[in-house]
Amino acid sequence: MEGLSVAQATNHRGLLNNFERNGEPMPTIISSLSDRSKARMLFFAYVLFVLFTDNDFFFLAFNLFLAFAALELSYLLPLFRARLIREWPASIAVYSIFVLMSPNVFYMVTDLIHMNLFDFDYLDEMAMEEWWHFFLLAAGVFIALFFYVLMVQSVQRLLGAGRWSRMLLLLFVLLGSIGIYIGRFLRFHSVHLFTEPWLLLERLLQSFSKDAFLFVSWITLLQLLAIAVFGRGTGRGTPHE
Amino acid sequence: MNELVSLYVTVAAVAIMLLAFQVYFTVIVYRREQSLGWACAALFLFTGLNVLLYQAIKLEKRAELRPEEMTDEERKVWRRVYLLLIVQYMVLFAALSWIF
Repeated sequence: MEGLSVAQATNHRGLLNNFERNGEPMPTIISSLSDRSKARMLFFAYVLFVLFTDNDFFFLAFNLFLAFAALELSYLLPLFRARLIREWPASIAVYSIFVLMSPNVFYMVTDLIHMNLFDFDYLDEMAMEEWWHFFLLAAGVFIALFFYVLMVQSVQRLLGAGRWSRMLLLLFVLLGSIGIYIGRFLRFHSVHLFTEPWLLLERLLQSFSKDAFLFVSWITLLQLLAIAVFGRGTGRGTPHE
Repeated sequence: MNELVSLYVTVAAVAIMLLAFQVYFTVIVYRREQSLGWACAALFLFTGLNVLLYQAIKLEKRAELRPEEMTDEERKVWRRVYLLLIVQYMVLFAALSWIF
């Protein structure tokens, strides 16, 4: 409220009150949706927006599709928890595919590097084309971060509050960082693990270096930061779950 | 020539797989809903959009995909549907990465 006059501050508060009822935020169309429905609507809206507007970032639609697929897979994990021995093969297959797809969600954060297509000489001029692309990319990254938080929430719910759950979550995050490294620098996709597994392993082993270790560490820290700042635990007891 | 034959065989195999899933899912949805509208949606929406739509509108309202709230039969059916859908995507990814 710093820098506002008393009248402005009162008006500001009055504006806030319009959105509150009995101390609770008033439901709006967006807030009354479940997180899952919100994620779906954001995905389809964003993809249509990217595909039908003039921009150089069409690849964002495909990248967000991969992120969305990982999120939807995370919601299926409880269904694929094996109850009988004969259910194990299908469960292992689905869990493995989820682990392979999951780095695609946070991978989108590294798409921010594509801003290097533009100069951003902001002291010289306000180039709208640059800021239009900035808007598109930032929106995609925000949505991907939302997907990431929801996906981690699903994983946390699955792991429960057991003794090993935090360690397993950390392992999941670490594997995600290695996956992002493989995708970003070695230019492999999840599907290459099935089509070219030996080549992928060979390239990964060859590429081990101090820089690779640092990159993986930084991405791991970023993911942990996202979980700490935006994460909501298991999501149990939240109004929309 | 051999590559062209391989390409045709791959495309045909993927098309048959997609079609088989559409028919399978249509039968499941029609048995549950007894509705031609849902049957058409299940048949004509491809690549999992049919499953996503049915899940969002019908399934999540009933059980919210919580396996503990599903009957054994329901759980078996939905495990099979989702597994087939995931396999479909994996085959599509592999086929597309091979073709391009």
